[in-house]
Amino acid sequence: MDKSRVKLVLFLFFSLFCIITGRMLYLQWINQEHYLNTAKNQYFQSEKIKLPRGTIYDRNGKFLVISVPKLAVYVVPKFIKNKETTAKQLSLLLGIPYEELLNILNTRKNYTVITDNVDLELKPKILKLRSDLKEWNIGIEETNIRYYPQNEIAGSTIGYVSRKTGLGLEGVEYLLNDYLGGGIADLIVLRDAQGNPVSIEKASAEKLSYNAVLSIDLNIQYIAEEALKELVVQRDPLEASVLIMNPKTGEILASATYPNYDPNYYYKYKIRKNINFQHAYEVGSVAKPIVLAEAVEEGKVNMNEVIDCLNGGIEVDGVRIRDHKRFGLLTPIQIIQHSSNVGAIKIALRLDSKRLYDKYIQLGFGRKTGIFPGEASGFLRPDYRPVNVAYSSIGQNWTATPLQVAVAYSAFANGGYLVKPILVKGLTDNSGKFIQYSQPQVVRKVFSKEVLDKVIPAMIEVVENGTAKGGKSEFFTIAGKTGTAQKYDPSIKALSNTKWYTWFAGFFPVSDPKFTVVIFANEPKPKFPGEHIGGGGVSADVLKNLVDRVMFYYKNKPDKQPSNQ
Amino acid sequence: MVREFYFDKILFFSFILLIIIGLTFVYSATFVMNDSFHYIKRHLFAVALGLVAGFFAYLVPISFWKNYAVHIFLISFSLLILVLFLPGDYPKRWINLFIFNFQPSEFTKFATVLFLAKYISKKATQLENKWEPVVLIYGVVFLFAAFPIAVEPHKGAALYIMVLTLLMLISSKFKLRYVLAPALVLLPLFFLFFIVKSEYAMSRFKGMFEASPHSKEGYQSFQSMLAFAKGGLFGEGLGQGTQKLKYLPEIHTDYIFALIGEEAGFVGAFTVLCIFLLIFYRGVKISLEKRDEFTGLLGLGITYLITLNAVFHMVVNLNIGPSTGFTLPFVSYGGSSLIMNCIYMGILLRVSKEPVSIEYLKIRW
Repeated sequence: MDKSRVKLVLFLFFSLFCIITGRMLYLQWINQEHYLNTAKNQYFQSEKIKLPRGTIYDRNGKFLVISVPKLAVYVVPKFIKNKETTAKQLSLLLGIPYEELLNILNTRKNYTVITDNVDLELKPKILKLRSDLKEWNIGIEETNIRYYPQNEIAGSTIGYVSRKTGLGLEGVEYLLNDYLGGGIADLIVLRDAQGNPVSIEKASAEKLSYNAVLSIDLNIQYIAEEALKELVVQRDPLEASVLIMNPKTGEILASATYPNYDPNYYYKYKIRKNINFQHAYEVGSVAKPIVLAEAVEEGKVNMNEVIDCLNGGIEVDGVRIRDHKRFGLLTPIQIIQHSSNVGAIKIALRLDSKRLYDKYIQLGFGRKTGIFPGEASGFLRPDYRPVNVAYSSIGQNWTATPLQVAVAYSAFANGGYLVKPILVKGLTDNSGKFIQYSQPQVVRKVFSKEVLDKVIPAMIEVVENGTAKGGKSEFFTIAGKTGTAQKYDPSIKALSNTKWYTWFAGFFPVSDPKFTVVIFANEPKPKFPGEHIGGGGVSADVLKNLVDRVMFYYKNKPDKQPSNQ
Repeated sequence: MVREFYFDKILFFSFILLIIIGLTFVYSATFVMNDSFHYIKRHLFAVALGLVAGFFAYLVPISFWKNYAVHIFLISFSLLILVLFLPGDYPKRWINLFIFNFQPSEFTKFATVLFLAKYISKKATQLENKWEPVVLIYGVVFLFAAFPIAVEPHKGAALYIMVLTLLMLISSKFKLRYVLAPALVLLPLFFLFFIVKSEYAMSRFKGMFEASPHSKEGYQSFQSMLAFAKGGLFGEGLGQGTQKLKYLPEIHTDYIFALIGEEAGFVGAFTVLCIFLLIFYRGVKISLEKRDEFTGLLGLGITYLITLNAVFHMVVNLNIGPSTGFTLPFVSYGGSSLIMNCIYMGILLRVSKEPVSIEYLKIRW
């Protein structure tokens, strides 16, 4: 050992340490920014994920819609080395056709989501496939899909959620966007070198997420859909619907429409509207009980008087309005029972026309109820010329949605009160507690008891012995009114004699009304050639299929003595 | 003959401090993996084993090393040959001992130090003017240690052993020109045959000069430098680093200094550097004072061994040199290197206790 020589080594090492220190200072202080800038975007990636959305229940707590956590599988095709193998293996694993996958891999370049509907259990398999194939540009992301377990049952009422944005686009889903949450959150995700997310650094403010309870009763809805289906099969209408409502609370128990759609596959359907709420039609004779009620209220009609129905035609302001049959002398009850236009017009012309229109407006016609997105308000413009009063009394020249008709007829059923319809019963938090609850609400009183006592017997007669007798129940008394409105036919520039809107609006059981029902069809076809299309005939089978099932489902005792033949 | 009663406390605490730093950063580097405790459990086990081994090494009298120096050197050679013939994938650097993988080259470093200490101390009286012993030393070390390691291939370690030999010879009384001349001939030859001809080694050099996140070769070097840049002066905080997220491979072993630079900043990395400087200084000082030539040379060799390893590691981490696998002694994860370092620690502490030559007795450093 040589001390001076060891000092040489000492010096050597000391210089090395100095170099190291200098290099550290260079990297960590002097030239730090340069390196940081070069790798600015190395660690974080902004990512969009679909947030879970609140559940929607029917009134009994059955699932109508749930958010299901799923995996989305994506690829970055430009970095996929072996496209055939990748497509083959992914197709085996995910059950997507091979050609479809290969097509995506060959035509797309950048980030492409192959499917967003992969079970969570497949995650380890996909990760294993990725490392087996050494294709690091296959990736998975957690997502949520909206699942409608009842498929198309109440589909048009529930609406649907966009697969892209995760937000409701139609129906209740759209209505409750602010409460159900969901949508897409922007996340800043810290990723490791292989692209796996490690932690979430920043997330855009999360929305409230509540669950919703609808007033719909899934079983009633199902019964209504079944009845409607039969009507559609028999008569092949353009559109048709059944609406059932609790007349006392305004809760909508069932809203079935045709055309309908399955919200799970909403993108496959062209028409995605709900005609119960979103379309208004001329109501036809359904307006007549309102006219009679107004006449009774004004004291302009005596229930025992006899009105000459002029053998099927009346001229008002030079316009001749005809009846569907030649009627002679009829009492007011018979006018309703047989739906005489002339009789109704004669009564209407006795009335203060302003008060008649006021009555329509008081019953909620001409304005939206505000319970459904995209609701139609219906067309109702007061026009006091006798011809228009006459037309209005037979439900022509003004339009209403099936919902408006149901609300108006509920006023007959519940003792004269106009109730606010309810579709969303309330919102609950995740513990199931109601944080918002729709209390039944009376808007105003529209009919007095005396009036109803005189009008309802006429509506009972309609079903028992009148135009709707085909639909009468063996067990329960039904009150209602049929309606048949001529459609305006653009090809002949007049009201058509072959195209009709047919209606039935009524309630049952009369002794203690529990259900208001509106049955509507647009252009129903005759069952057999030469059949006379009318609201009664078209809705008869629906009523037959509906009333008894609904009543027995709710365990109601018959209010009629069974007729012993 | 005066004997120190206690071993050198500054050295001892420096070692312990490094081990504690090691435990901290190995955990920090590996807790993000699937099993957070997989590595730290094994590291703790190696630390325990190392401390026991170090304690036994401390108990071994220096005369034992002196008597068996050549035997140990031959054993190391046979291990190097053995590892070449064991079945396994290239590079053939490890022998699987079931508990951990043993790296014979790690052992060879120590054996080389023993051999050099023994040989130089034996020839101490006739060193001055002869060049033959120098050539002999270079030859033996190259043939029996550096060459088999280079064949594995583990060229970094082979180079390391040659540099270690050079440093030992510089510290000896051989004429400086005899010592440096062969080195000046051998080093270019080494580069020519082992680095330029090997694609792998060349890619490492390429990576060093073209450090960038987008090039294949320069990725690792860039990520390592980025770690230091991210740390800045005061670091991102323990456990807060992101380079461990697979951006910097082998961060718990070959790149732990970069992790320290990232999480503890310049302050932390400089502290670690100072601890090594302290160990180096203390080690050299202790060795110089020894009365017995072999004891002094052994202490010196081991001090060089530890410090040179640390310097190589830091140089690679800071991308001053090409990337090659060197652990940071006492800090990095890795069973055989940690245990061997603990044994060096035991021997060095033993050396510190050995009799001091009379001229140093009154002077206290």
